[in-house]
Amino acid sequence: MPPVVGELTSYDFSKLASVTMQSGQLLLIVAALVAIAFVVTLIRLRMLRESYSIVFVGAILLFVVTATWGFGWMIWLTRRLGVTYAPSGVFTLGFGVVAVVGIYLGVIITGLQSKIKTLAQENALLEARLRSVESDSAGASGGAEASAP
Amino acid sequence: MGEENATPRVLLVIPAFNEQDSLAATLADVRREAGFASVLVVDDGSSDLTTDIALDEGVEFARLPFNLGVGAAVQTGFKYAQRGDFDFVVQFDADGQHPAKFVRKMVERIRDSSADVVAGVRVAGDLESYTFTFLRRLGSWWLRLLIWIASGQRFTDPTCGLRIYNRRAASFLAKHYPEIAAEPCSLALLSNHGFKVVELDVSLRPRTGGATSLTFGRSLSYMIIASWAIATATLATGRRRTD
Repeated sequence: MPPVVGELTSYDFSKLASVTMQSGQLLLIVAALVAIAFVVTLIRLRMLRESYSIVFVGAILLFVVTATWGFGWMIWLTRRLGVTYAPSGVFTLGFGVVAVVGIYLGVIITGLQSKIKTLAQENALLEARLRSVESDSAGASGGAEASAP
Repeated sequence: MGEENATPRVLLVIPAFNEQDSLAATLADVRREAGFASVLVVDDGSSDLTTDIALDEGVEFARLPFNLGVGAAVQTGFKYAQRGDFDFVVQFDADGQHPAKFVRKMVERIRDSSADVVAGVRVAGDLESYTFTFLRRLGSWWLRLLIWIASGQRFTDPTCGLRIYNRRAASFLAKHYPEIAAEPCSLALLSNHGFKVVELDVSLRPRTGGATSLTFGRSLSYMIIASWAIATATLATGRRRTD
Protein backbone atom coordinates (compact mmCIF):
# COMPACT_ATOMS: atom_id res chain seq x y z
CA MET A 1 0.00 0.00 0.00
CA PRO A 2 1.64 3.22 -1.15
CA PRO A 3 0.62 5.46 1.85
CA VAL A 4 2.07 2.96 4.34
CA VAL A 5 5.33 2.75 2.46
CA GLY A 6 5.46 6.55 2.43
CA GLU A 7 4.93 6.74 6.20
CA LEU A 8 7.52 4.05 6.90
CA THR A 9 10.08 5.82 4.72
CA SER A 10 9.44 9.11 6.51
CA TYR A 11 9.64 7.44 9.93
CA ASP A 12 12.86 5.56 9.06
CA PHE A 13 14.53 8.69 7.76
CA SER A 14 13.78 10.71 10.93
CA LYS A 15 14.99 7.91 13.15
CA LEU A 16 18.15 7.50 11.11
CA ALA A 17 18.77 11.26 11.17
CA SER A 18 18.32 11.33 14.94
CA VAL A 19 20.81 8.52 15.50
CA THR A 20 23.30 10.08 13.04
CA MET A 21 22.95 13.42 14.79
CA GLN A 22 23.92 12.06 18.18
CA SER A 23 26.88 9.96 17.05
CA GLY A 24 27.94 12.55 14.49
CA GLN A 25 27.84 15.33 17.09
CA LEU A 26 30.03 13.40 19.48
CA LEU A 27 32.50 12.41 16.80
CA LEU A 28 32.75 15.96 15.46
CA ILE A 29 33.29 17.45 18.92
CA VAL A 30 36.02 14.93 19.78
CA ALA A 31 37.69 15.45 16.41
CA ALA A 32 37.46 19.22 16.86
CA LEU A 33 39.10 19.06 20.28
CA VAL A 34 41.92 16.88 18.93
CA ALA A 35 42.40 19.25 15.97
CA ILE A 36 42.48 22.32 18.23
CA ALA A 37 45.01 20.59 20.51
CA PHE A 38 47.12 19.77 17.44
CA VAL A 39 47.01 23.37 16.21
CA VAL A 40 47.89 24.74 19.67
CA THR A 41 50.81 22.29 19.87
CA LEU A 42 52.10 23.46 16.49
CA ILE A 43 51.87 27.07 17.67
CA ARG A 44 53.72 26.23 20.89
CA LEU A 45 56.47 24.50 18.91
CA ARG A 46 56.75 27.56 16.64
CA MET A 47 55.83 25.42 13.64
CA LEU A 48 52.68 27.43 12.90
CA ARG A 49 52.16 31.16 13.28
CA GLU A 50 49.19 32.40 15.25
CA SER A 51 47.92 34.47 12.34
CA TYR A 52 47.87 31.45 10.02
CA SER A 53 46.21 29.22 12.61
CA ILE A 54 43.19 31.49 12.96
CA VAL A 55 41.58 30.18 9.80
CA PHE A 56 42.01 26.56 10.97
CA VAL A 57 40.61 27.26 14.44
CA GLY A 58 37.76 29.18 12.84
CA ALA A 59 36.94 26.25 10.57
CA ILE A 60 37.04 23.82 13.49
CA LEU A 61 34.77 26.00 15.60
CA LEU A 62 32.34 26.29 12.69
CA PHE A 63 32.09 22.52 12.62
CA VAL A 64 31.60 22.32 16.38
CA VAL A 65 28.86 24.95 16.33
CA THR A 66 27.18 23.20 13.43
CA ALA A 67 27.43 19.83 15.15
CA THR A 68 26.21 21.05 18.52
CA TRP A 69 23.51 23.58 17.75
CA GLY A 70 23.24 23.76 14.03
CA PHE A 71 22.10 20.29 13.04
CA GLY A 72 18.46 21.32 13.03
CA TRP A 73 18.97 24.12 10.54
CA MET A 74 21.44 21.99 8.62
CA ILE A 75 18.75 19.34 8.11
CA TRP A 76 16.26 22.05 7.22
CA LEU A 77 18.70 23.61 4.75
CA THR A 78 19.76 20.34 3.13
CA ARG A 79 16.11 19.28 2.66
CA ARG A 80 15.34 22.62 1.05
CA LEU A 81 18.33 22.09 -1.25
CA GLY A 82 17.04 18.67 -2.18
CA VAL A 83 19.70 16.76 -0.24
CA THR A 84 17.98 13.75 1.35
CA TYR A 85 20.88 12.76 3.59
CA ALA A 86 21.72 15.55 6.06
CA PRO A 87 25.39 14.67 6.66
CA SER A 88 25.96 15.30 2.96
CA GLY A 89 25.25 18.93 3.79
CA VAL A 90 28.02 18.82 6.38
CA PHE A 91 30.40 17.37 3.80
CA THR A 92 29.43 20.16 1.40
CA LEU A 93 30.14 22.69 4.12
CA GLY A 94 33.44 20.92 4.79
CA PHE A 95 34.39 21.11 1.13
CA GLY A 96 33.65 24.83 1.15
CA VAL A 97 35.81 25.34 4.23
CA VAL A 98 38.69 23.35 2.68
CA ALA A 99 38.42 25.45 -0.46
CA VAL A 100 38.58 28.67 1.56
CA VAL A 101 41.56 27.36 3.54
CA GLY A 102 43.29 26.35 0.28
CA ILE A 103 42.80 29.81 -1.24
CA TYR A 104 43.94 31.44 2.02
CA LEU A 105 47.14 29.37 1.99
CA GLY A 106 47.63 30.14 -1.70
CA VAL A 107 47.51 33.86 -0.92
CA ILE A 108 50.04 33.42 1.88
CA ILE A 109 52.39 31.36 -0.30
CA THR A 110 52.15 33.87 -3.15
CA GLY A 111 53.12 36.69 -0.79
CA LEU A 112 56.02 34.71 0.64
CA GLN A 113 57.22 33.68 -2.83
CA SER A 114 57.20 37.30 -3.95
CA LYS A 115 59.22 38.35 -0.90
CA ILE A 116 61.70 35.50 -1.37
CA LYS A 117 62.15 36.45 -5.03
CA THR A 118 62.81 40.07 -4.12
CA LEU A 119 65.26 39.03 -1.40
CA ALA A 120 67.13 36.72 -3.77
CA GLN A 121 67.33 39.45 -6.44
CA GLU A 122 68.51 42.05 -3.94
CA ASN A 123 71.10 39.58 -2.62
CA ALA A 124 72.40 38.95 -6.14
CA LEU A 125 72.55 42.68 -6.95
CA LEU A 126 74.28 43.53 -3.67
CA GLU A 127 76.80 40.75 -4.22
CA ALA A 128 77.52 42.11 -7.70
CA ARG A 129 77.87 45.61 -6.28
CA LEU A 130 80.20 44.39 -3.55
CA ARG A 131 82.33 42.56 -6.09
CA SER A 132 82.55 45.70 -8.19
CA VAL A 133 83.52 47.89 -5.20
CA GLU A 134 86.13 45.36 -4.04
CA SER A 135 87.54 45.16 -7.55
CA ASP A 136 87.76 48.98 -7.78
CA SER A 137 89.30 49.13 -4.34
CA ALA A 138 91.88 46.46 -5.16
CA GLY A 139 92.71 48.26 -8.40
CA ALA A 140 93.14 51.58 -6.58
CA SER A 141 95.36 50.13 -3.86
CA GLY A 142 97.37 48.18 -6.44
CA GLY A 143 97.88 51.39 -8.40
CA ALA A 144 98.96 53.26 -5.27
CA GLU A 145 101.47 50.53 -4.38
CA ALA A 146 102.85 50.52 -7.88
CA SER A 147 103.39 54.28 -7.85
CA ALA A 148 104.89 54.28 -4.37
CA PRO A 149 108.64 54.82 -4.25
CA MET B 1 72.59 60.63 -19.75
CA GLY B 2 69.66 61.19 -22.02
CA GLU B 3 68.40 58.87 -24.74
CA GLU B 4 69.00 61.54 -27.33
CA ASN B 5 72.72 61.49 -26.52
CA ALA B 6 74.98 60.17 -29.28
CA THR B 7 76.38 57.39 -27.10
CA PRO B 8 73.57 55.89 -25.10
CA ARG B 9 74.36 53.55 -22.24
CA VAL B 10 73.20 50.10 -23.24
CA LEU B 11 73.02 47.08 -20.95
CA LEU B 12 72.80 43.55 -22.28
CA VAL B 13 71.02 41.33 -19.79
CA ILE B 14 71.86 37.67 -20.35
CA PRO B 15 69.86 35.29 -18.16
CA ALA B 16 71.72 31.99 -17.87
CA PHE B 17 70.76 28.72 -16.29
CA ASN B 18 73.30 25.93 -16.72
CA GLU B 19 74.77 27.45 -19.88
CA GLN B 20 78.40 26.49 -19.39
CA ASP B 21 78.58 25.02 -22.90
CA SER B 22 77.42 28.12 -24.74
CA LEU B 23 78.06 31.15 -22.54
CA ALA B 24 81.69 31.73 -23.52
CA ALA B 25 80.87 31.71 -27.24
CA THR B 26 77.88 33.99 -26.65
CA LEU B 27 80.01 36.48 -24.74
CA ALA B 28 82.70 36.36 -27.44
CA ASP B 29 80.05 37.17 -30.06
CA VAL B 30 78.74 40.02 -27.91
CA ARG B 31 82.23 41.45 -27.43
CA ARG B 32 82.86 41.26 -31.17
CA GLU B 33 79.55 42.66 -32.41
CA ALA B 34 78.26 44.77 -29.52
CA GLY B 35 81.34 45.87 -27.65
CA PHE B 36 79.76 49.26 -26.98
CA ALA B 37 77.28 47.69 -24.56
CA SER B 38 77.76 46.75 -20.92
CA VAL B 39 76.95 43.13 -20.10
CA LEU B 40 75.25 41.61 -17.10
CA VAL B 41 75.00 37.83 -16.88
CA VAL B 42 72.29 36.79 -14.44
CA ASP B 43 73.09 33.30 -13.24
CA ASP B 44 69.72 31.82 -12.36
CA GLY B 45 70.96 29.40 -9.72
CA SER B 46 73.04 27.27 -12.08
CA SER B 47 74.62 24.09 -10.77
CA ASP B 48 77.34 24.02 -13.45
CA LEU B 49 80.23 26.36 -14.24
CA THR B 50 78.14 29.23 -15.63
CA THR B 51 79.26 31.67 -12.94
CA ASP B 52 82.91 30.66 -13.28
CA ILE B 53 82.77 31.28 -17.01
CA ALA B 54 81.24 34.72 -16.47
CA LEU B 55 84.00 35.44 -13.96
CA ASP B 56 86.72 34.22 -16.32
CA GLU B 57 85.29 36.30 -19.16
CA GLY B 58 85.48 39.38 -16.96
CA VAL B 59 81.84 40.39 -17.34
CA GLU B 60 79.60 41.66 -14.62
CA PHE B 61 77.34 38.97 -13.20
CA ALA B 62 74.62 38.64 -10.59
CA ARG B 63 74.20 35.22 -9.07
CA LEU B 64 70.73 34.30 -7.84
CA PRO B 65 71.08 31.93 -4.87
CA PHE B 66 68.59 29.49 -6.36
CA ASN B 67 66.67 28.96 -9.57
CA LEU B 68 63.84 31.49 -9.86
CA GLY B 69 63.01 31.12 -13.52
CA VAL B 70 63.92 33.21 -16.53
CA GLY B 71 61.33 35.88 -15.72
CA ALA B 72 62.86 36.67 -12.34
CA ALA B 73 66.36 36.52 -13.83
CA VAL B 74 65.52 39.09 -16.51
CA GLN B 75 63.76 41.24 -13.93
CA THR B 76 66.99 41.23 -11.91
CA GLY B 77 68.65 42.73 -14.97
CA PHE B 78 66.01 45.45 -15.21
CA LYS B 79 66.61 46.33 -11.56
CA TYR B 80 70.35 46.48 -12.19
CA ALA B 81 69.78 48.75 -15.19
CA GLN B 82 67.53 51.03 -13.16
CA ARG B 83 70.25 51.52 -10.53
CA GLY B 84 72.99 51.84 -13.11
CA ASP B 85 71.11 54.56 -15.00
CA PHE B 86 71.19 52.80 -18.36
CA ASP B 87 69.33 54.24 -21.34
CA PHE B 88 68.48 50.94 -22.99
CA VAL B 89 68.27 47.35 -21.85
CA VAL B 90 68.69 44.46 -24.28
CA GLN B 91 67.32 41.06 -23.34
CA PHE B 92 69.64 38.46 -24.85
CA ASP B 93 69.71 34.66 -24.63
CA ALA B 94 72.79 32.86 -23.32
CA ASP B 95 72.38 29.81 -25.53
CA GLY B 96 73.94 31.46 -28.57
CA GLN B 97 70.77 31.57 -30.67
CA HIS B 98 70.69 35.37 -30.77
CA PRO B 99 73.34 36.84 -33.08
CA ALA B 100 74.87 39.88 -31.37
CA LYS B 101 75.03 41.72 -34.71
CA PHE B 102 71.36 42.63 -34.17
CA VAL B 103 72.03 44.56 -30.98
CA ARG B 104 73.30 47.60 -32.83
CA LYS B 105 70.34 47.44 -35.24
CA MET B 106 67.95 47.25 -32.31
CA VAL B 107 69.53 50.26 -30.63
CA GLU B 108 69.25 52.23 -33.86
CA ARG B 109 65.66 51.13 -34.35
CA ILE B 110 64.51 52.09 -30.87
CA ARG B 111 66.17 55.49 -31.15
CA ASP B 112 64.79 56.19 -34.61
CA SER B 113 61.26 54.92 -34.05
CA SER B 114 60.51 56.61 -30.71
CA ALA B 115 59.29 53.23 -29.55
CA ASP B 116 59.52 52.05 -25.97
CA VAL B 117 60.28 48.48 -26.97
CA VAL B 118 61.68 46.78 -30.07
CA ALA B 119 60.79 43.10 -30.18
CA GLY B 120 62.69 40.67 -32.37
CA VAL B 121 60.74 38.69 -34.94
CA ARG B 122 62.27 35.38 -35.91
CA VAL B 123 59.64 34.11 -38.28
CA ALA B 124 59.97 37.12 -40.57
CA GLY B 125 63.76 37.12 -40.58
CA ASP B 126 66.16 35.15 -42.71
CA LEU B 127 66.32 31.94 -40.76
CA GLU B 128 69.75 30.43 -40.46
CA SER B 129 69.44 26.67 -40.15
CA TYR B 130 66.39 26.99 -37.96
CA THR B 131 62.99 25.48 -38.54
CA PHE B 132 59.74 26.00 -36.73
CA THR B 133 57.72 22.85 -36.29
CA PHE B 134 54.00 22.79 -36.96
CA LEU B 135 53.24 22.62 -33.25
CA ARG B 136 55.49 25.57 -32.59
CA ARG B 137 53.74 27.60 -35.26
CA LEU B 138 50.37 26.58 -33.85
CA GLY B 139 51.45 27.60 -30.35
CA SER B 140 52.73 30.93 -31.61
CA TRP B 141 49.45 31.56 -33.46
CA TRP B 142 47.46 30.80 -30.31
CA LEU B 143 49.57 33.15 -28.18
CA ARG B 144 49.29 35.90 -30.81
CA LEU B 145 45.52 35.49 -30.76
CA LEU B 146 45.39 35.70 -26.96
CA ILE B 147 47.60 38.78 -26.84
CA TRP B 148 45.46 40.41 -29.51
CA ILE B 149 42.33 39.71 -27.45
CA ALA B 150 44.00 40.88 -24.23
CA SER B 151 45.66 44.01 -25.57
CA GLY B 152 44.24 44.77 -29.00
CA GLN B 153 47.77 44.65 -30.47
CA ARG B 154 49.02 42.22 -33.08
CA PHE B 155 52.50 40.77 -32.68
CA THR B 156 54.32 38.46 -35.05
CA ASP B 157 56.57 36.51 -32.70
CA PRO B 158 55.47 36.75 -29.07
CA THR B 159 57.99 34.25 -27.70
CA CYS B 160 61.16 35.76 -29.14
CA GLY B 161 63.50 36.64 -26.28
CA LEU B 162 65.58 39.19 -28.21
CA ARG B 163 64.26 42.63 -27.30
CA ILE B 164 65.38 46.10 -26.40
CA TYR B 165 63.62 48.36 -23.91
CA ASN B 166 64.04 52.05 -23.23
CA ARG B 167 64.47 53.41 -19.73
CA ARG B 168 60.76 53.88 -19.11
CA ALA B 169 59.75 50.39 -20.22
CA ALA B 170 62.67 48.87 -18.29
CA SER B 171 61.64 50.69 -15.11
CA PHE B 172 58.08 49.48 -15.55
CA LEU B 173 59.23 45.90 -16.03
CA ALA B 174 61.60 46.12 -13.07
CA LYS B 175 58.40 46.22 -11.04
CA HIS B 176 56.00 44.19 -13.13
CA TYR B 177 57.94 41.71 -15.24
CA PRO B 178 55.88 38.49 -15.39
CA GLU B 179 57.35 35.43 -13.73
CA ILE B 180 55.79 32.84 -16.02
CA ALA B 181 55.50 32.90 -19.79
CA ALA B 182 57.41 36.14 -19.51
CA GLU B 183 57.90 36.98 -23.20
CA PRO B 184 54.27 36.81 -24.39
CA CYS B 185 52.87 38.13 -21.11
CA SER B 186 55.18 41.14 -21.08
CA LEU B 187 54.00 42.10 -24.59
CA ALA B 188 50.38 42.07 -23.42
CA LEU B 189 51.31 44.04 -20.30
CA LEU B 190 53.33 46.65 -22.14
CA SER B 191 50.62 47.16 -24.75
CA ASN B 192 47.92 47.49 -22.12
CA HIS B 193 49.96 50.12 -20.31
CA GLY B 194 50.42 52.28 -23.35
CA PHE B 195 53.99 51.42 -24.28
CA LYS B 196 54.79 51.53 -27.96
CA VAL B 197 56.16 48.22 -29.19
CA VAL B 198 57.62 47.86 -32.69
CA GLU B 199 59.12 44.81 -34.31
CA LEU B 200 62.40 44.09 -36.04
CA ASP B 201 63.30 41.09 -38.16
CA VAL B 202 66.09 39.04 -36.69
CA SER B 203 67.62 35.71 -37.58
CA LEU B 204 68.18 32.83 -35.25
CA ARG B 205 71.01 30.37 -34.93
CA PRO B 206 70.91 26.84 -33.60
CA ARG B 207 72.02 26.42 -30.00
CA THR B 208 75.79 26.41 -29.59
CA GLY B 209 75.60 24.21 -26.51
CA GLY B 210 73.34 22.65 -23.93
CA ALA B 211 69.93 21.26 -24.77
CA THR B 212 66.50 22.79 -25.08
CA SER B 213 64.23 22.05 -22.15
CA LEU B 214 61.13 22.16 -24.36
CA THR B 215 59.71 18.64 -24.68
CA PHE B 216 56.18 18.11 -26.00
CA GLY B 217 54.81 17.81 -22.46
CA ARG B 218 56.57 20.96 -21.30
CA SER B 219 55.47 22.84 -24.39
CA LEU B 220 51.86 21.86 -23.76
CA SER B 221 52.18 22.82 -20.11
CA TYR B 222 53.78 26.13 -21.16
CA MET B 223 50.89 26.85 -23.52
CA ILE B 224 48.28 26.25 -20.83
CA ILE B 225 50.12 28.35 -18.26
CA ALA B 226 50.90 31.06 -20.81
CA SER B 227 47.26 31.26 -21.88
CA TRP B 228 46.10 31.68 -18.30
CA ALA B 229 48.92 34.12 -17.53
CA ILE B 230 48.10 36.34 -20.53
CA ALA B 231 44.42 36.30 -19.59
CA THR B 232 45.20 37.40 -16.05
CA ALA B 233 48.25 39.59 -16.73
CA THR B 234 46.07 42.60 -17.36
CA LEU B 235 44.20 42.10 -14.11
CA ALA B 236 47.39 41.82 -12.07
CA THR B 237 48.53 45.38 -12.72
CA GLY B 238 45.42 47.03 -14.12
CA ARG B 239 44.84 48.21 -17.66
CA ARG B 240 46.01 51.79 -17.16
CA ARG B 241 49.57 52.93 -17.24
CA THR B 242 51.02 52.85 -13.73
CA ASP B 243 54.48 54.32 -14.20
